[in-house]
Amino acid sequence: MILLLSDLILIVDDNPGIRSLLKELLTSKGYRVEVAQNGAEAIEKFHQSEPSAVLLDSMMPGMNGLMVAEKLKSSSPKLPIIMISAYSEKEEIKRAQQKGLLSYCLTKPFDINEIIESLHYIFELRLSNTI
Amino acid sequence: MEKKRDSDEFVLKKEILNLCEQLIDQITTAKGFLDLNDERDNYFTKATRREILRMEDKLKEFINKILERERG
Repeated sequence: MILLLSDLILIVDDNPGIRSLLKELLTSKGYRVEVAQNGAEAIEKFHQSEPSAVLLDSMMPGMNGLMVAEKLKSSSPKLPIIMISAYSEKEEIKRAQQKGLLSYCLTKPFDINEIIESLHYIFELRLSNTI
Repeated sequence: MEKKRDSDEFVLKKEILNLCEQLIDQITTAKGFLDLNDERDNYFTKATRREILRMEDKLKEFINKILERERG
């Protein structure tokens, strides 16, 4: 398993239940976690804490996940973003992934193992790029 | 009159889809917390998870029906 204890993950979701589930899951696996409940807060927290990766909900009121991804990528092009798409938005998210905005994409309803696997995937990629 | 009915139906469809997505969020959360539970092999935990999965399937089927109707 490729995990660095210094890795901080930013969780962005407007649903408090999902935020709390992801926070419990990731802290139980040894990650440090920061949470944001909307796009504006996500961008602010991103600049404050410089996370290693972002877990981003696609369907949020105001700025949606894709708009947030574009803003984050414009200031940090190599930032890994894992998009968690709404069930009815699968096709739209696939197109965003093809544009290179997203490192990984999951669809709700997800299993907690899929979240951990997606983080392992992006950190393994990071490791293979630095060797 | 027909235009108004179409527009009302469009708004209603969006509201239904939005409600379905909120229910999907809650199913995801409930299932996730059950899986984080130390007693995941407990008979009652397994039975609850099975019911959650049935709800999940029904909801996905319903969303697919709405999306198919939207595509015509």
